[in-house]
Amino acid sequence: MNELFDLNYQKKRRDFLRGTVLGLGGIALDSLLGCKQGNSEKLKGGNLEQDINQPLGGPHFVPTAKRVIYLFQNGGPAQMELFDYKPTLYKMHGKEIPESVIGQNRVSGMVSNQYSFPLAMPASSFSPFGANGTYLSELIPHTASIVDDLCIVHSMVTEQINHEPALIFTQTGNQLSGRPTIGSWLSYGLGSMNENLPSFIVMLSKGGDNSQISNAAWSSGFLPSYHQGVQFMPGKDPVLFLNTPDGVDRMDRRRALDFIKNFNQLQNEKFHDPEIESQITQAEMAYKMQLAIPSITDLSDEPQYILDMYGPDVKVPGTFAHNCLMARRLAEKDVRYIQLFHLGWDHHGALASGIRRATKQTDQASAALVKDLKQRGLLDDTLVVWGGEFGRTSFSQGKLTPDGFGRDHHPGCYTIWMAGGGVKPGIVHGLTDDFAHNVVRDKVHVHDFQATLLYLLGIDHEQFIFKSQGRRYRLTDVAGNVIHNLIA
Amino acid sequence: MIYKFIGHFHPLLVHIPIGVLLLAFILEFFVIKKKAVYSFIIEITLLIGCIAGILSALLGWFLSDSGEYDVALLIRHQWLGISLCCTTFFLWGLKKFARPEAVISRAYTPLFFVTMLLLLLTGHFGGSLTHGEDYLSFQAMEQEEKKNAAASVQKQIQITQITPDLTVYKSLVNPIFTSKCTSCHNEKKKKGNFQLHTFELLLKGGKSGKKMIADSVENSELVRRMLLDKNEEKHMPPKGKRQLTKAEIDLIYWWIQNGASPEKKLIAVKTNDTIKAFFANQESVIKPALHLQNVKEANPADLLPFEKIHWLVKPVSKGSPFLEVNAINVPSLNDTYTTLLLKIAPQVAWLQLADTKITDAGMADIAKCPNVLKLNLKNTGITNASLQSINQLKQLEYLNIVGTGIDDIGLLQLNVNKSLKKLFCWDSKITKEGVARFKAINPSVEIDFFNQFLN
Repeated sequence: MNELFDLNYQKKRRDFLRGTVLGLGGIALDSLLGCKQGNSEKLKGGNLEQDINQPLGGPHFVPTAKRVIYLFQNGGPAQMELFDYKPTLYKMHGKEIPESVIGQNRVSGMVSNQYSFPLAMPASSFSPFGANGTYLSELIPHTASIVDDLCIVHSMVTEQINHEPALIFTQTGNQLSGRPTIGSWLSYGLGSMNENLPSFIVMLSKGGDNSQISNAAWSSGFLPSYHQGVQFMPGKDPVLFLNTPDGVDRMDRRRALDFIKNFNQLQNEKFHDPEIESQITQAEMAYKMQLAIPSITDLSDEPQYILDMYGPDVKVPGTFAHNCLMARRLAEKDVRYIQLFHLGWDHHGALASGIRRATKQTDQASAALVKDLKQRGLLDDTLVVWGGEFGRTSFSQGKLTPDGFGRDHHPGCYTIWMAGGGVKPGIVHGLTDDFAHNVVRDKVHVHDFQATLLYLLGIDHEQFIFKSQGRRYRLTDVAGNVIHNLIA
Repeated sequence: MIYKFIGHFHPLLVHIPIGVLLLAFILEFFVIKKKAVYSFIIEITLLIGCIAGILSALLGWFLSDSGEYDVALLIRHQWLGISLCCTTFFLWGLKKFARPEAVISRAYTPLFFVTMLLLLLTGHFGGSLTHGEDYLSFQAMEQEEKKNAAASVQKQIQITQITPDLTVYKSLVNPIFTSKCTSCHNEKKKKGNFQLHTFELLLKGGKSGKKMIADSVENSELVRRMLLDKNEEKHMPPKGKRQLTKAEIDLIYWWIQNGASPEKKLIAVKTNDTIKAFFANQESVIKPALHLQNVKEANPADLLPFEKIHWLVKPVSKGSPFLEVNAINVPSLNDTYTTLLLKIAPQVAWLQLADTKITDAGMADIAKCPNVLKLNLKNTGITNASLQSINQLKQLEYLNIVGTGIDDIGLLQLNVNKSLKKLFCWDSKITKEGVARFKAINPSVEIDFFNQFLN
């Protein structure tokens, strides 16, 4: 069968060459005239343009961060309830937001037919914390206790106003799904340190709300598919379909894998399809993970006082606290990029109670993660990022009642914080207006944030390129500036 | 279209008549012996030279159609070339048909010398057309270099030196063009028929029309060419030439976006972000590097034993001789392997041995790596006995002894020279009091010790 296939394959090629009217001369003329071969980069094993799309192999310059833990707060945490203290909002409670502030800003379809935009007083009180007296909300006492380690950015700006596009924009640099996410870029560019674990791990926490996020948020896009995030699930089976079925011996599995690998390699020699390599790599990784995963998920070696740090939820698999502890354990194993998603920040109504629930689920564990990394000496080269996809409006969505009021999506400014990995500790960057509505100074666009993140990992975002379908792509697309003021 | 393309072969073909006629000249006047034998060869050579010359002239005619050349120079080159073809033809005629005793034969030698002169001049003007008139002038070359140096000096005017008469174009934009563009787009050598040494010509544009549309960067070919990918054929300046920096591109972009006026005064816009960024020269931000004396790269053969046992060794960054050595994949690593480090001792900068079976014995080898900046010994079997080894690491900035057997007495033995910045000693035998005592002696060291969780 195979020989027949070979013959057929070669015959086609010969026919093609013979059929080309000008023959080799034509091909030579083609190159003389400067016509470029368009799709050659697709044939990875081919002899043309082999130097394009090679992983970096190492950082461009000395990195200050080797790993990233991204605590993504999906839904859009309200900046004025948590981080961005605006006394004016208390004073002007119930009054219309001034026209000069709201300006021509885009509002979502959910409030665009609202005839009145009354300012809503934050559902929390603020007090100063840390060496610099940074004002933070009563809702996040644990985060406040580590404020001297945090680099708080008040002036984040995004281009998207709806959850999925904004999330995808933050993760991939483009609003449409289909491009590689930050974790995939890093896995592709820098490779893994721990050879028994994937370099990009994703954990979704339960208990937030019922909203969903698509797995485009950890997709590898056009990068080889073994760079996509591996999702850890709560419960007995953290990685689905990883365990060997009952009655199958590990040695049997090894032999089977070797046999399949041989076949795959034969195919790969013929077609040079990068996806075949992905398949081989993934199967090997799964085999190694079978041994590595149980030791990660078994928390019995954690002393009680460490568990207490993360809060009572930590023992319940799938909670944010549990995932934070898992993130620390994975960081200890040198996993390059650990992505957590917590849902439940989308408070269109009943914000006061909603944000209390969300902070209760996340505040203690987020702070504990930073402390725990720090005492182990890991925070030094691990970048922790905490933040959502956009902020919330300073005016009320719907009727302004003490408990029932909500806030709508707001891309014009929002707050995130970072810690470790070479960012300046104990600073607040950027300034918003008195209504936490517009950025007044030191705007940080999502692309700037991405450029800075890559810089901390030693990557020049303008030199980190992958060519796909004839176009060169970057995480920061065609924009982004490194914000050097955030870097220690 | 096709004849234009064939025209591109003119610079190639002209070498044939030049070479062939020179050969004829040498054979005629410098070969003394056996003159009769060469006579026929000279005759054939002249014929070939004549035919090749006519063909070259034809191709040259096609090429001249592109209109990229200085017309005066072109005309001169053209008529010289045509004359050369004629004289060569006459020479061949004389050589073949004139009897030696005929009067007309006396013209042969002078005509040959005239031909050679024509050849020289045609070649020279042809070269001037292709490479620019200054190509063969040492003085011009010197001047060019001086001009470039002056341009870069001019760029460095300080924001404090701005006087009211300076314009953005004259003092910022034009110097950029002068230093990076006008070597190909000048009064003599106008590639793409585009010159940008003066504002009027910049406005006029080139072969494909206007290159710069004020207020509209989207429609300005000049901006498009600057922003194209470096590997694109149309990118300017071409690959291999000195490239525009990001700040320079930003400045030109901003200037065109805002009217591209030659009159715009610098002083009026000096608080503008782009102008400020240009003066701050942001592209010169120094990339992070290790503050170590440079060493030579490790021998790749010395890295193989590491690879064999899955002990990760990688340069800290691309092209750096310094290595990051990480034992994350070898938890079974013990003291028998530390001798491997001796081969790459000067290069080891970051050493990560956390959760391995290293003990005090292995530390003796580690002490011989003089450039270790970061040392992570978390959860290893080391005790106070290792302090002596650690003290030998004069560059050490980061020390992690979390979960080790080192106690307060050991901590006090830690001889901290100025380099140490961070110490992590949680979960070891060190107590709160020990840390306090150490801190009193070494206030500059940042110690992380979350003791409150122990109580």
